[in-house]
Amino acid sequence: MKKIPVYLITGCLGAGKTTLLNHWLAGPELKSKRIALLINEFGELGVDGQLLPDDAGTVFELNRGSLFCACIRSDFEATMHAIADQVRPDLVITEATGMAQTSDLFSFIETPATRERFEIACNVCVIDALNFTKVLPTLKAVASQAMWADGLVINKSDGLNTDQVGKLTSLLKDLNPRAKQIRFGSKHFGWPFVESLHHVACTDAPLQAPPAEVVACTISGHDFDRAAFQTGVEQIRGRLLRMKGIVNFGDGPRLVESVFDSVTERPYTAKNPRYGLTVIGWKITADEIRSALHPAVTPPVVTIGLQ
Amino acid sequence: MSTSTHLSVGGKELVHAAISGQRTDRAPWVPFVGCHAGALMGVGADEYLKSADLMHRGVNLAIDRYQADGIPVAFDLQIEAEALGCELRWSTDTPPAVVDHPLAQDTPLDQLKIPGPDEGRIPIVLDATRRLRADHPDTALYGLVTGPFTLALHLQGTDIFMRMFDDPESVQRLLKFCSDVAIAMSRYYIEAGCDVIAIVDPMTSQIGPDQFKQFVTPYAKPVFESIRTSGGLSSFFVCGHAQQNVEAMCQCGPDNVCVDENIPLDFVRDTCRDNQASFGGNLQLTTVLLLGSPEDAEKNAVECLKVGDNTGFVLAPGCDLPYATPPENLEAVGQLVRDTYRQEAVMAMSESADVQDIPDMSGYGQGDHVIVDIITLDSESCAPCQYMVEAVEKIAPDFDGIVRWREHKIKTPEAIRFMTSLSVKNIPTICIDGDIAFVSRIPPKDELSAAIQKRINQKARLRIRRRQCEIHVLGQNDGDTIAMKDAVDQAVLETGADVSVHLVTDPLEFIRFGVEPDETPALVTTGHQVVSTERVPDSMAIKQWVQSLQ
Repeated sequence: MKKIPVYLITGCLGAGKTTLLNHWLAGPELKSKRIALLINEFGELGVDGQLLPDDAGTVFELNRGSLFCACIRSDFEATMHAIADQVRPDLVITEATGMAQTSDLFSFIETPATRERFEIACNVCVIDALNFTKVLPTLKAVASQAMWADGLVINKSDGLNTDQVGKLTSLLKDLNPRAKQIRFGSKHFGWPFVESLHHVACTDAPLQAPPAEVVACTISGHDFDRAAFQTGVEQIRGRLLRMKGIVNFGDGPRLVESVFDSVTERPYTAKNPRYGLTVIGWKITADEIRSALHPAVTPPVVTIGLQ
Repeated sequence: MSTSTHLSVGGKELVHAAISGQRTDRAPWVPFVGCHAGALMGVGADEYLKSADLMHRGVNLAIDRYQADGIPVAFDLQIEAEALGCELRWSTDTPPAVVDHPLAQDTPLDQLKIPGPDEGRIPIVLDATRRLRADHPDTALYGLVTGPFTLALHLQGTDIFMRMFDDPESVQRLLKFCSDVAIAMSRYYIEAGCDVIAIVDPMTSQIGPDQFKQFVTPYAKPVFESIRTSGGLSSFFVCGHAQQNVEAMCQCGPDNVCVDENIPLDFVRDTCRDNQASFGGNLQLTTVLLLGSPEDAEKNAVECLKVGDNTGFVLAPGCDLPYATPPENLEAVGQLVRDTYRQEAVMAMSESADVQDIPDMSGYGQGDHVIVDIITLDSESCAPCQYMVEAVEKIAPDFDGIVRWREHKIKTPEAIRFMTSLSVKNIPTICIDGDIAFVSRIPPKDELSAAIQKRINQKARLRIRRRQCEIHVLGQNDGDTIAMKDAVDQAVLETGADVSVHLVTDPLEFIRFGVEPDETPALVTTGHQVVSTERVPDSMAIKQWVQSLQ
């Protein structure tokens, strides 16, 4: 019996998974196909029902919100079997919650009963170019999804300059050397891109923590010396993914931000600013970040009054 | 015969002792029955989780059927979120899902107030708690509270992960609020009569230990301190890939840490013991409890019990039991925890290397003797096995050597293979000629005798039926051979014997009967006994041979 191919879309919430899915559905390649969609994501269902021919597509939702763990496995399996029995589609597209580690999704589909009827055709991850580096040190699933994708669709890259896009693509290349990368909105980023991918099964155990190469640390301090700060940033150039915080260079509170190595600053006008910096680095240790930036911190001068 | 001790009392004390880290006579069993109790009554999860009456009835049923030492009043991590304004989507066979997030839709945090005991569905679960407390003074009641991090995610949505970088201060304010909600909920549950408060925070499995210490520890710690001050016991629940955070969880100060199948239980045990916490878990929800058999559930339970070693350990499923979990799987676990002998048997079976090369036993027990096999754990160390062996041993001589018996101690791969090949699943079991006759009970003497006698009679009948009375006439299709065949047919007719007559004319076939072609015509009776060669015997002799075959 021919197995039903399953296409996985992964990516953080807001990365553009549903937009990509709608783009696929609108394309000529899937027009004549019988499709089952399996959606497991927070919030409103964003799939454009208009794009599914009346009798040729069915949407299934998993009703567990964000809890994509052992609890949902049984729902997932039951839904897959309902799809095979009731819809008998030409293909299944699964849009996973941003919380799902790819290895878990694979293990759901690789159970003996499900494996008999389905096979994973490929796994596409949508990358939110603006936020990817922000959540990389926090959310294990973000790293897992990028590392196990057959193809990476980079969305929202319009918000980055050419240099920053280059840095993001090389970071993704580092995380996943084999995945094909394509810019969202570029020519053929729809179904032809999917069909060009070579699927590799995920065999590793789920991540226990974000990748060791990613490090996040806090630089506590109120007053900073601007020249020393710039020297420090220069020292960690190429290994800086992201930085954000409020510091005082002597001219009032400034909001300092960086995307990769491009640092910007502007006056911070809200009340009661919380001083200090959060720094996210790549292939660097927290100690190296601290030793580069700590010299810029001006310790408050403690005056001891004479008796 | 059962060795179970069906004590319904003491479950609460047992849970208290185990959660406090003490050694117990046996591990307490706490099935995390949530909307599954609805399935026991044929009621959908959407109806069940909205009714104090149904919860009261459903949990009562589950306590009785599963012999629970402890049980949650409800398992719904959306109760607080709903009371705080999150919209829920209901389902018939799962708990509801949160589908919108007030803080993501511009509701300021300042507008959210800690829910009172009479808001949303909180009064329903508190009412169910009070009724269950009155019904079951000896069962530990668990109040399940949504952990601060998971509640923050319900209120803020996954945007919270961006905010951890962009605006950590606002995330910390939100977590402080969620921590206060958990403290209030814990207090409501304790006042309504709960013994144990479980802080369930599955979303913490999404983050690594550094972020856990920054965004979970400061907000979980005060909750556990507050539970302790209120006189309750506490458990910290997490599901998912959270191995990296177990130590940090312990350091938040809960009495107990509970995990699911994604984390090895021995790792949790060692980490918890190093940090003075008890532990619990981690029966597999889907592959075993939902989709497996009672035997699978027992095997999994025994593996957990072995790790737990009756010391600061609570046997529980890894998470909320799926709605459609077969009750018999949970009943099997409820019986097993009280039956040390059954545990030993299951353990011995599961330790028996994987059973390969199962012999084909379809022809077993066809010989002259009746074979009685007793599959035991070990008659020298287990009483029921000993009594069963003694029963057979005593009765065998009555059958004058016809009955042969053997004990198979399932501590060797050979015995396990033998047991598997006869489809034996329970210990001890008596098989007669390869058929299961008595399972887990010692048959009275008369009953055992009758069963063996029945088999002896059956074999005798089979033997009679199988006796092949045949006469072969061997020859070259010449006049002598035809004459002899006619004479044999006539003798069979005259004696009324049940004998079949065959004419064999192929010289190559003669050798099968030990007859050379020049010795024909020949007459061969049953068992290849050559009674005449090279001649046609007279009809009287033929008649005698035919009669002797009967």
